[in-house]
Amino acid sequence: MMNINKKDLVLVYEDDKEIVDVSLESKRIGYYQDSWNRFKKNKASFVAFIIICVIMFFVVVGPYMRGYDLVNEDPIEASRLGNLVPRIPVIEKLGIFDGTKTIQAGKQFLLDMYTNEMGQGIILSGMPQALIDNPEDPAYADVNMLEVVVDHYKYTNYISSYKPERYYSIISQNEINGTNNDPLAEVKRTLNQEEFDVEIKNNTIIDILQILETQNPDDPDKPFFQYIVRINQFKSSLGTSDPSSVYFWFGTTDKGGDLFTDLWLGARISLIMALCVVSINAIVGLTIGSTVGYYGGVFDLIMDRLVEIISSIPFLSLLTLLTIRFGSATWVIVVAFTATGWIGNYRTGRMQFYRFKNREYVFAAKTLGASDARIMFKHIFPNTLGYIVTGLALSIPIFVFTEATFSFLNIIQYANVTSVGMLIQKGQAVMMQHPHLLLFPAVYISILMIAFNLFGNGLRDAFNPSLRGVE
Amino acid sequence: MIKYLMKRMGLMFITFIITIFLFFFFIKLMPDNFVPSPGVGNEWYEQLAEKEGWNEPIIVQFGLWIKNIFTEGNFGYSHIMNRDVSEAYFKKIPASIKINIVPYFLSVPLAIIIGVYAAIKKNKWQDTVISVWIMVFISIPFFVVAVLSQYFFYWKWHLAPDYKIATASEFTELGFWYGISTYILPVIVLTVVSIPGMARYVRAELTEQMTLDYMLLARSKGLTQKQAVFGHALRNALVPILPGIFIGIIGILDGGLITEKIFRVDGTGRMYLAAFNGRDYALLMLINAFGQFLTLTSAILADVSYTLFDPRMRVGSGKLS
Repeated sequence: MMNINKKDLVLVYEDDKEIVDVSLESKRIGYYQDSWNRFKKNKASFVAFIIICVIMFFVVVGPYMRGYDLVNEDPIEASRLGNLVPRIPVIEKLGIFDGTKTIQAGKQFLLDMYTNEMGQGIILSGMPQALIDNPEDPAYADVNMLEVVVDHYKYTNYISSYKPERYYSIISQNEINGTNNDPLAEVKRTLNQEEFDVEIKNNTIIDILQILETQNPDDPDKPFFQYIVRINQFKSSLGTSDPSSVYFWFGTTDKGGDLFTDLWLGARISLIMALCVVSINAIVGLTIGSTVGYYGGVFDLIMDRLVEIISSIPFLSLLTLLTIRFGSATWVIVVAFTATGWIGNYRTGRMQFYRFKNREYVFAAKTLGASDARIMFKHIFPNTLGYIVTGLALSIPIFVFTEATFSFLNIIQYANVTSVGMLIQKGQAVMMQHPHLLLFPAVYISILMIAFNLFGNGLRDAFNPSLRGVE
Repeated sequence: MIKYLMKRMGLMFITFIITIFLFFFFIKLMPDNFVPSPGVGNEWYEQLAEKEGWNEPIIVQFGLWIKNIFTEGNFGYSHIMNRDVSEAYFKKIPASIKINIVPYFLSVPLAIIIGVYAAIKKNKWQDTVISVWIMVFISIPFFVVAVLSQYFFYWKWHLAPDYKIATASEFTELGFWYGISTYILPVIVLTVVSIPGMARYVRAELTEQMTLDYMLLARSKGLTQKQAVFGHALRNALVPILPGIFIGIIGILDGGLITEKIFRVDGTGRMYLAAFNGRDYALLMLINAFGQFLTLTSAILADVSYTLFDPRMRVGSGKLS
């Protein structure tokens, strides 16, 4: 036994002082703040999140960035500018996306283009020097086709405004068959007086081939003139005489539309629909699911059977039958995706509410007289939110994936927009001649899907507090 | 056990009949159900109308449809192929199996090997590489992978002999080996895209099993990591995966729409698209019904295989439903 002097013992507090809990010095972190902190730590997901933000920016702004709308104003002129290869400022200096293309064309045509004034600077490389020095070079006597690298923009301008690619083959066809087809037919335009005046004002006419004078039916005194001319395609359609100042970042489609604009328009429609479908599914599924999970009983049994039947309907059958019956208006697609799509959310909601409804804090709230609605919204719902948000974030890429797949298969065919899946399908058909039409949409959808999945996985980990400190 | 199975099958049968009826009902609501073909004349129409009861209520038509299946084996008349639909459809199944079977039997063992390897090397660089690969191929839609592989391996690098598979006539013209070689590209693509999903599952299951107490016991009684994983953890990890493998076998029968469209396989998937584009309702009805049959069969098979592979299920089977 130790000898302790009682006088050494002192009271830690005076009688009049009360002991109180000292509040924590550190800053309080709530659930969402904590989730956000942990989400930021996950590098891959954070990068994915930024990529998604960038894509969203382009989806909103992208379609208006180019200000190019020739396809709708004048489809015929636009189609002459079809299938141009991509050219992007700055990056073109690296030797990619610089608007050059390897083409095959007739020897005579290329020689003519190389030597005449209009064709200066089109052929960049690949033209044999021997042939330039001596067009009759015997080494090339048997060669009809040559492969050269051209500036595709200048080349397109040349063949659509000065001399078509088939010029010499039409001439030789004429000689063989004795026909009289006009070799210049593809580039000739017939203009009336008004159109002619406009083109003169814009100084786009290369040369006047013919002036036709006909009787004016309205006023016999004034003659009626028609001008057959060749006009500078780029100058008349795009307002610039120098094709090298024209940039189609992602190239043009077969109809002459700007692929950059089309891609973001297609992306926009699928993302808007994704938001639409996901929110409908969430509202319907969670409302029914949480009610069923919370109240249970007979209602639960009936819903269980019903859901089993609905969920056994294959989505493919549903979608095909609906599109055959009602066409591919956007609402049909939304109905098809929501008809069975809410089941997943229903199950989540039911399970979560079923799990939490017997917790002590719910009993406590009940004892205090809280109504069912208050318990459901105020007490249970916040606990399930992380789980639900993750599910929603992951269901957006699933929608985009499915929608793209079925529009690739032509089962979904929108009337007035081209979705990304349709762009890929069109690109696939011409991937040998115009690979850019396939590559850009394919790369876009790949990046989007990877980003969304990484983002969703990051969210799932971030909202799961049990993983805290494990990573 | 038997009782449970019977109950399960009974419920499945009811679901099957209800969904099939829904398909039938919806197809009968289509406005242009009958397109008279010129030259065939009215007689043909009268015959079919009589046989399929086109003037009766839909429920009677449904009864007649089922009756015709059992009495004559007749699933309806296809107007795009001008013959009985079942005759045309079931003939296409072998072509679908031919393209699906090799990737399936390649991908299952490969997926298990890769998943196990990633789980053993968890958080090392091998695991990271495999995870990135899994992430990429799970995310990128299959049709994009297939189309890009066609572009790069056929058009750009000229490694594949053709971008589509050889038809029967090409087999005889250009030789058997050429025909087989055209299958290499689709088979590789299908294998590569079907591995990641399963590999991820295997990895997740095995990682979970490896943290459990029995693994600690196994290590502490002196087993090496390898022995413990292959002797104990792997068995348990594969239990939830095996039913999926069985269901996959049924999936082989069903031709993929995308595969068959991209690689020009003359199988059931292409026939579905043809039926869709040609508005061939009898054919659509058959394909949907058959697809539904396959889905529900595989669900039953999954139940059975669960009870086979997992003793815990066998004991408590009565409570499942």
